[in-house]
Amino acid sequence: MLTIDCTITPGNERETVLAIDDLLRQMDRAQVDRAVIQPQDRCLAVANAEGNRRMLEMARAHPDRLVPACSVNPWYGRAAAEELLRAVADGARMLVLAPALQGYILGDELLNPVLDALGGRPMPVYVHTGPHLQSAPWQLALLAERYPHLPFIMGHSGATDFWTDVVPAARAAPNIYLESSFARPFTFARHLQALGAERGIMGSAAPRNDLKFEWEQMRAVLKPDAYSGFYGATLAGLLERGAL
Amino acid sequence: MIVDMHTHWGAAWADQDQTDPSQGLKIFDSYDITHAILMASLALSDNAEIARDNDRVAEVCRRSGGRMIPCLTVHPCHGVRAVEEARRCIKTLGARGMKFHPWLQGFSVMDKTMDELAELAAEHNLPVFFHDGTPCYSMPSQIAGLARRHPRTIFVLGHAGLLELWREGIEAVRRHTNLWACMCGPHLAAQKEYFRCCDHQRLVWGSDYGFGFADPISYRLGLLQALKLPDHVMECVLDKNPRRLLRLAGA
Repeated sequence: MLTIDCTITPGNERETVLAIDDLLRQMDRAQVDRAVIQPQDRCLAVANAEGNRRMLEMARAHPDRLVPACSVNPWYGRAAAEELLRAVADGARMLVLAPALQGYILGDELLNPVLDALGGRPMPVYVHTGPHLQSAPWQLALLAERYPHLPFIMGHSGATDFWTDVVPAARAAPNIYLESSFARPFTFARHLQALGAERGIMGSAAPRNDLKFEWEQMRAVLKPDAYSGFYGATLAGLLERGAL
Repeated sequence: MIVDMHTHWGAAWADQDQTDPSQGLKIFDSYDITHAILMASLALSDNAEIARDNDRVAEVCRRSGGRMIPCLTVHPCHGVRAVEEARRCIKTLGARGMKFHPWLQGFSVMDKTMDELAELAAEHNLPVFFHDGTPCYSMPSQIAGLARRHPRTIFVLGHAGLLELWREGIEAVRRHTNLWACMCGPHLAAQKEYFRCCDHQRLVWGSDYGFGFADPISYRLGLLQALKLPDHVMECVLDKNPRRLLRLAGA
């Protein structure tokens, strides 16, 4: 069974310090085949190109284990769209948006040039959700309706306070997938039971969380035999479609 | 010995077991949790339930043989009636703490009655627990503002700022010696920062168990254990600090 961790930040600052060798060891211990790696906070907010290059380099060194994500801050306007296309051309397989860090309300038309730059390519768009004003599940639903061909991954499933909104918002937009990190197994399991296993994606948010601990806890609640898509196949399908 | 500093008697439990704590205690036993502060649940979302829920929580605690410790709630916007209900809970129900959830209950901690309640808590040595981590009424900095105005009262950030406001929580706890934080909500890295930056004598642990039947204890206790704290710090967080705060035997 293929296992992929959707949410890893191998950074070198603040609470996301994680060296690549350490990450690979942790993945081995947790029996995780692959990980999508995304830039650290400063690189999500301002130093987009630096962060994207770093992810691409790490993934190139371990192409069988690491899948590079990229991010651009839409406040950079045309330069953001150009950086996104450059990163995609170099191998980035997922776009990461962090409205609270990047400074806009999720769904703001500011995002249009960035998402339009993807053209018809159904690249998965991971959105960090949870911050109250900037990144709520229903804000994501509105955006997802505007771009129905793009798969949107609701990072953290609105944790903590939007647990009531997650399932109805995801039902409103079938191109939304729920990512599990920070949502905690005892809450996330209820989301998937309501929405369907095929709409879930596993993420640990390491190193903010302990990778092995998060996988163990989740496997204890959502049994791998019944949720194989959640643990890897669903995300693999999205990444594959986005790479076309 | 473990004292869980954040549990509720939720509607699901009240429907299933009324005021019988035996099923809940079995769960606690499986984690070696000896005691737990028990907070209301229905009363946090329905003002009409406040007195009934305070009675219910007290009865559950009474039947637990002292393992569950009652925590009262009132709605500050009820003014004099709120203070009277708080006095009743302290005097006749044996409440050992106050709990407020400004986000769910819908009030600002700047409410004048909150000042009266904070002073009442100080008078009776009761800690005041808050839901926190949620704008616009439950931010750690707002509760820190209350702690600043009432230095005799001990306040507890019930969620240590959750996932978004934990840095604010750390700053608030460092600034005010009468402000404590409960490790119940922040991720692992944030909890590490709490232990690096704050006085561990004012940190406790909680599970938020009891809103429904889902069991958050395994995850949340596991998260604390994953911090790999020195034994003496772990003992403080899980046992000594809560006993001191609640004035339990062995403190």
